[in-house]
Amino acid sequence: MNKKTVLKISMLMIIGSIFGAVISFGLIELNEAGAMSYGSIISEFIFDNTILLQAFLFLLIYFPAVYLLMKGKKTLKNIDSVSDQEMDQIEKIGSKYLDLVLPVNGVFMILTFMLFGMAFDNTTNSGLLVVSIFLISTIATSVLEIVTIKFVQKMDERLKGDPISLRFAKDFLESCDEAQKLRIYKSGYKAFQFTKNASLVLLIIAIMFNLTLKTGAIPIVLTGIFLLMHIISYGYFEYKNQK
Amino acid sequence: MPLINNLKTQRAKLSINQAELGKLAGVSRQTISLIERGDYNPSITLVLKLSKIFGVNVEEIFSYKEDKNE
Repeated sequence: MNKKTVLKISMLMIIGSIFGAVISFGLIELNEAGAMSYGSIISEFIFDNTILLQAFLFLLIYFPAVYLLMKGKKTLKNIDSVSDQEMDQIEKIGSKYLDLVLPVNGVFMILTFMLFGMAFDNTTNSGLLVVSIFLISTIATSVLEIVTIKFVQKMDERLKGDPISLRFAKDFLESCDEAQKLRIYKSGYKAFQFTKNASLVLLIIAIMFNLTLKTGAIPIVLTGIFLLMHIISYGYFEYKNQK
Repeated sequence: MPLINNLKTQRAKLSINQAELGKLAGVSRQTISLIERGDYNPSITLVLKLSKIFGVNVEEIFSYKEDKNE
């Protein structure tokens, strides 16, 4: 290890310590100011405004995803009659739109699940309404996902897999060519590394919240289990793929 | 990138576009485009497939030039 690396790591450790100390101090201050009551206010707000919040999710996330799909479709329409160079340009723009549809739709789906989890209460009359909103949102997410995948498959007829089938991910990957597979593997590995670091940070935050705000063991256990599953599953598949 | 190719010239000789070559080689048009631009190094299997399609030796399509920076 050269001097530069040692200095870099030392600097990172010092910055990390300062950052941790500031956050801990802030959390203690928040606790003294009654942060848990703020938590209750937020929960109550979500519970009382489920329809409004879900409408916001549709407006801010779902409809932009639909717009991206339409824009991508429009860009890639009538692509057959152009030269290879023009096609490269058009596909580059069209793919930018299409590549965003599924992640944005995924964000909508996760936020919908979170909202449902926080707003659902079977002891009140609003339970049925919350379930109905959740079901409509889930159907909308599934429809957008299926339409997007079908369009991508229409653009590249080699790509197989029924988006409704449980075998979709496997069939789709198998039908990709070597360059497409390399892109998927590269993205997958980078996403694995990012999620590993992010969940480690979340675990530390959960520990700090429990120490200062007494949020309980559940956030620590859940984040820890997620991190364990993440690392063990990677190790398992790496071992399995050894030949 | 040390791998140089003249896929575009070979393709022109056969008067086929990227999509048609992709179909013959069993890959997407985008992959052919990536290879032509030097943004992707194909596998040996694909290289052999391409040389078979063009009816020439591999060396006539691909050549390796030592990169001093690598």
